[in-house]
Amino acid sequence: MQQENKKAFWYPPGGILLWIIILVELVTFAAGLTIFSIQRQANLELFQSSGQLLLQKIALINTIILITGGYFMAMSVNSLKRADSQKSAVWTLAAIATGIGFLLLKSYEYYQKLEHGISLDYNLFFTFYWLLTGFHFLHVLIATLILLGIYFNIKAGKYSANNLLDVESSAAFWHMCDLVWLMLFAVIYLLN
Amino acid sequence: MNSFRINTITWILLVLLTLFGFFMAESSGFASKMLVFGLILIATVIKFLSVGFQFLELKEAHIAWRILFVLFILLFVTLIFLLFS
Repeated sequence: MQQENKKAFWYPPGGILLWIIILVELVTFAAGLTIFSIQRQANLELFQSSGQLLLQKIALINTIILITGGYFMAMSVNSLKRADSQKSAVWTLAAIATGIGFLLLKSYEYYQKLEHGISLDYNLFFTFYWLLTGFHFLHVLIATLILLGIYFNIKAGKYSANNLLDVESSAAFWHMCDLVWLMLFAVIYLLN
Repeated sequence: MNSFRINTITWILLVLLTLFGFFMAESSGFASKMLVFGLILIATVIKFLSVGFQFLELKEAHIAWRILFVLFILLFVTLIFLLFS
């Protein structure tokens, strides 16, 4: 029955409300990156030299961390669907750990930038860098806190194979952070 | 194949594509800039769709959501490719 519901337009995995949020977020970040790319055309030298100041290897590790967190959360949802809440809790905890790992590594990157005096108003490239990655950082922070709440609820036995919309919605929000980061990583760190 | 195994294969694919994109960007001297940009963006599209369809379970959603999702990423990377070229 639940599978049939998901086939309906109004019941995407995680719920329609969350999918509206996901679409709005994706379009917003895509618009930001498009404006970044337009500005890059007009300030090519500035953007290329500023790009050299980024820590690509940290961004690579962070990408793998986020992807791994997405994998853990997908496994958590699948475990709950199979009525294995114990495993679901373990996978969720692992996803939380990746969220914390991402935030710590990103904080180090930000610290390194600030130490060198590279703040929001350093130049146009770094204004985009701080705004785009900063908003994404906040999303990961919120997603990690949401997963923490979900973890305690799973441990408390509040969800089951037939009652997992909250878990699916939280996982969807988490995956949205993955999707946004994939766009940021490609445009800001790799292409530039 | 069960969903656990598909998730694991998807994760391996995502990591490999991430490494591929990174090394393409790092060693861009071996090919033309346009080719490198194109390959990085193709890898990004595959990763985006893999996360969406497998982890986000978009494969189970209504076809309208799937079309919207695919159109979004294709439009985005095309725009970025044109702006970078």
